[in-house]
Amino acid sequence: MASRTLKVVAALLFLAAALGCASGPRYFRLPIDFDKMQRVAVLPVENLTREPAAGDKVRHRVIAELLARGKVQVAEPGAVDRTMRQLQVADRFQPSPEEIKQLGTNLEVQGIITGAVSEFAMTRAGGNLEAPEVAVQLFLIDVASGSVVWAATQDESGLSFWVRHFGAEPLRISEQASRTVRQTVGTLFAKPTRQPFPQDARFEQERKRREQVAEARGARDKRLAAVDEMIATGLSQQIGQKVADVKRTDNAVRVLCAMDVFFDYGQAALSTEGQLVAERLAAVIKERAANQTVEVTIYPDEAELSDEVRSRYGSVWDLSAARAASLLQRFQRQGLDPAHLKAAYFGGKRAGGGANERVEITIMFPLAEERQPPEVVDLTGGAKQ
Amino acid sequence: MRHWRWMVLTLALLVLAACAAPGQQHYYVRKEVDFSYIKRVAVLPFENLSADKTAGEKVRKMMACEMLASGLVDVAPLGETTAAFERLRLESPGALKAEDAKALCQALGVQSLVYGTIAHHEEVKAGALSVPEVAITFNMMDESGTTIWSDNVVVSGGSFWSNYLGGKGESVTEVSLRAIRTALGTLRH
Repeated sequence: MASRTLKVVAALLFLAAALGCASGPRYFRLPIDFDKMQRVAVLPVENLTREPAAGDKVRHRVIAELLARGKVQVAEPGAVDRTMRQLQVADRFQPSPEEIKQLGTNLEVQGIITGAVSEFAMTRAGGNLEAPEVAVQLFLIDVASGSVVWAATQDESGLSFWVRHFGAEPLRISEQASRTVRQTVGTLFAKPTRQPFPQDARFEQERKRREQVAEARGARDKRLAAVDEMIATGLSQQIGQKVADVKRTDNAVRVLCAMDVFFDYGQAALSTEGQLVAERLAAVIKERAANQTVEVTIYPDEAELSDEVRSRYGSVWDLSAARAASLLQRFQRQGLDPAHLKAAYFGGKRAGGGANERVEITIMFPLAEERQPPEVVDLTGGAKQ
Repeated sequence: MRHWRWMVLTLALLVLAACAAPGQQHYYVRKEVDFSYIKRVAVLPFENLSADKTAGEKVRKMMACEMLASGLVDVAPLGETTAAFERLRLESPGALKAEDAKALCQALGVQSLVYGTIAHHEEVKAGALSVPEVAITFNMMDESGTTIWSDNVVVSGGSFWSNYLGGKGESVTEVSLRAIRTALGTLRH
C-alpha cells in the first residue's frame, strides 16, 4: 500500500518536473464590443531581434490569425503603410494619440494593433539542444478613447518535454511563430480580465487634493530655501569658524550652534555673542516664518556641572532649562510670538550622542495636511458651566 | 522500498531545483503612499547599459504588458508617452525634475511614471557555462517627482536542473520576464 502511494507521488513529481514552468500568454483585456469595433488595423510590428524580417513575419501572422477568427475585419496592410506615409507618422511602431485618431479616420478602423517581437531565434535550451523561441507583445488601442483595451505577451520555446527526453522532433521556427501568435491573439477573444477603473467624483476630489498638496510643498520648499539662505548669511562668521551649521529637511530648518556660541561656561544668561546671534535669528524668523513653531533644544555638557554651578542650579537639567528660557525670552523680546515658541532640554548626555553638546533651534514648516489639530480638553472640573 | 524513497527524494530535489534559479532583489516602497490612488501609469523609455542594443524597448514593452496583465493599473499607450516626452523636450527619464514629472503626468493623465535602467541583459560566462543574466532597476515616481517605488532585480537563468541534468534552460527574454514579474510582485504587496 505504502509502495503504491510512493509510486503515485513519484509519478506526480515527475509530471510536475516535466510541466515545470510552462505557461500560456499573459494578457489584459477590458470588455470590447465587437459590434462597434468591427475593423482594426495592424501596424508594422517592431523588430527587436536579430532576425531581419521578424517584425513583418509576426505582423502577417497576426493579420491571418485575426481574419481566421472571423470576429473583426482587418485593414489591408499595404493601405495601412501607405496611409502612414501620407500622414508622415513619426514613429510607425508607436504613433502618437493624434496620429492614431487620423489613422482611425483615414482607414475607417475602430482599433489599432501595435506590437513588438522581442525574440525570434533558435536559442540554447539546456545541454546541446537548441529550440525555436518566439516572444511577442501586442496592444490594441481603442481609437475613440485612445486607451489600451487589450495587451498580451507570450514567450514560448518549442522545446517540449517530449523533445527533451524522448527525442521527438521540435517545432520549426516558423511553426513556433504561428503557434505563439495564435495563442497571443486568442486572448483578444477571451473573457475580460477586469472592468475599466471608475473615474468617479471621489477620484477627482483626491486628484485635486494631491495637486494642492504638491503646490503647497513647492511653496514650502521656496520658504525653507529662503530662510536657510538668510540664516546662513547672518551666521556666516560662526559657520566659517565651524561652531554653527544650518540644515534643511523636508519640513524644517535646523540651526545647530556650539553651546559656547550662546552661553559662557556654567552660565544660563546669554553671552554677548549669544545675544547677537539670537537677535539675527529672531529677525529672520520674524520676517520669513512669523507664524511657524520654533523649538529650542538644549543638548547639555555634563562636564560643566562643577560644584559652584551645582550650588546654583542643582542639576544639568535645571541649567539646561534656565538656558532654554533665556533664549526663548530673548526671542520674545525681539518680537516673536511666545505662543509659537517651545523648549526641550535633556538632563544628561544622550547615549550615542558623542561630543554633541549644542543648542539646536528648529523652525518648523508643517503643511496643513501634516499638522495635527490642537487637542481641546476641558480640565476646569465643570467650572465653565 | 528504500529504493523508492530515494527516488522520491531525488525527484523532489529536482522539482525544487527546476524552477528555483538564483536571483537577488532589493526594493523600496514609500510607506505613506496610497497606491490604490494610482490607476494609470506611463512607462517611460528604459536606460539601456547592456550589450543588447534593443533591451531597452524589449523591457519597456514587456513591463507595459505585465503591468496591464497584473490588473493593478492602466498603462498609457507607449506612443502617447513617447510623444509627450518629446513634446515637453525632456532629456532623460532618470533625470526628471519635480516640475517635469508633474507636467508629464498631467499631459498623459497618469498618476505615476515608471522608468528604469538595464545594467545586464545578455548571456554571461559562469565558469564553463554560459547563462543568461538580467539586472534591472525599476523606479516609480509620483506627480510630485518623489520616488515611491524602487526595485533592483538581478536574475540569472542558470539552474541546477538545466546546467547539470539537461533540463530546459531559460533564454535571456524568459529571464527578463521573470525579473519584471519579480519586481511587480513587490508592488502587488
